[in-house]
Amino acid sequence: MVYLIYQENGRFCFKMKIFIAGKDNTVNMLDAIKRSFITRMCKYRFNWEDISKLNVPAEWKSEYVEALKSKNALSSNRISNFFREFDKKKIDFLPQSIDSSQLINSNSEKEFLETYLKLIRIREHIDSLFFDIPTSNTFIGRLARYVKMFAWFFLRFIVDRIAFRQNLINSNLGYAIEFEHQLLLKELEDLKMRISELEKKLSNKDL
Amino acid sequence: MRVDQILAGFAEGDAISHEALIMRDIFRGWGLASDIFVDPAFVSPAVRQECLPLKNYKAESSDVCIHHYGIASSAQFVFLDSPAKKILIYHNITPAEFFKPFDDKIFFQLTEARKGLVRLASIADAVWADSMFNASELIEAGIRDVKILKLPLSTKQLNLTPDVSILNKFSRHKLFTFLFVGRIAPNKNIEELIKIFAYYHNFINPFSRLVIVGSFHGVPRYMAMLRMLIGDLDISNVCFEGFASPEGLIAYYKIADVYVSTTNHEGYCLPLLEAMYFDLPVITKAKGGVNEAMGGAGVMYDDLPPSLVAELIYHVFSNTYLKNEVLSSQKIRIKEELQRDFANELRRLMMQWL
Repeated sequence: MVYLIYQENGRFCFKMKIFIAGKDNTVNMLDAIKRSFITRMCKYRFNWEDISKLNVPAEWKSEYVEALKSKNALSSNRISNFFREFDKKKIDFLPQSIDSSQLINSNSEKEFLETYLKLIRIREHIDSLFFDIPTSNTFIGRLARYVKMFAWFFLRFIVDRIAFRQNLINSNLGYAIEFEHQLLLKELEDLKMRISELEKKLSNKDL
Repeated sequence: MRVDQILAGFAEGDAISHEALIMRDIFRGWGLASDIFVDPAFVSPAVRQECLPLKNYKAESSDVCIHHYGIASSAQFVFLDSPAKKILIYHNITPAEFFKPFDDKIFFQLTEARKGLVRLASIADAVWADSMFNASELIEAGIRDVKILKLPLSTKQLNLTPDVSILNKFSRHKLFTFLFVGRIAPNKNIEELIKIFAYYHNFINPFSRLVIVGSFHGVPRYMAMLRMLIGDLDISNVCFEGFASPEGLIAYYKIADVYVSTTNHEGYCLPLLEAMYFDLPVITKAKGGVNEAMGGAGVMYDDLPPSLVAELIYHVFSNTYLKNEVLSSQKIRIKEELQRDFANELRRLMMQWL
């Protein structure tokens, strides 16, 4: 069991810390957490590249790969693969260049706005893809889920049309915001230029 | 002799305003004249009758003037000019860097507040801090003889009847509820809380929701970023409830299953104690004054990625022994807090002037 993440003054230290009721439970809890995390991730068949984006210790990789191998060997029939497609979960991460978290690294309100407008342009569309339906682990729960899945298939022709219309409105609004911003920047530039010209004229008069 | 208090702002549900009210009542109880002075532009309408306009403040050299300090404001100049004996209560200044991307004005105010801290503290006759963490900041800045007066937990507020409309709204669907109470500000690190919830909701328990109670008008750009993040993570059960009345706040504590805090900078953090009072398991990041507020109770973590914090929450709830241990540690902590004699602590600190 290796959780030695970094070195401090020549000594290896736990970077992660967990205190329960005032006691340092880091070792025991991390072990329990690792086991449940690996089991959960195996259930959804994520590869390690996806999981590593969750910033979990790199030392867990070999154990995870082993667990995934044995899980895959156990169940690989076509029906379960079909239903697994609907169970698919995603690990959210967008590329750094379009990730909303980058807004926190802005250096001013102005920079924030520039980045925000850039990000909003690529987020104006809604999709009509199937989304995860929470299911309770009962017969009724599972039945309700399949009814909802059927309704989604059945109503797609309406939903797609509404989504298309909504996307048209969204993109028009996106353009309007962008054009207004560009116009304001242009007016500001013009004003700055006029002020500097006036200042030049004034300083020439003074001389 | 009068003992007056000067504040930068005054609002219902604000911990500092609440402390000022408790202190005013104690002073009046001792037979002293006491009022709270605030610039009316920064007073919320619901509590307008509790304070007087800052421009009406007058004092003599035999009076005492207490300034609650956490941000630069016109109140600090009134404090500086006051002929009374001066007491500065330092409630912590949030590092301005947190606000740099989101609000130039707040960034400037906090930078100025930090600059003015040493000046204010050096002219004060006494300097108090509401936690060891806050006191250590003052000591680092070269201020000596800092006394501690921790924020009081008011049971009067916590024993109000909960708002029925909120109880009804949330009891319609029985979902596992994460609660966070605090204004929506960048130092509260709410993006991490949302990521923890996203993992919990997507991979552990889809029948769950995150309820965030606190004003979201203070830093609108930060709020916009959070909304964008929620869209990116594709989660639906995140409820921004905004500011809550005292009765509303009780209702939120009653409907919650766990209190989770990911705040990166906190002077003390009273909501942690309030959550303990309502017997909610508290899971919090160990930063700043949070350690003192927790006092060895509940669950604290540091440097855990959001996915593993969500797993930690799952473990605390799936292991009855662990959960009981957490709850009993919190009961001890809250008992200790309720036994505090705030009036006596205040009297001891003010002895030389009474």
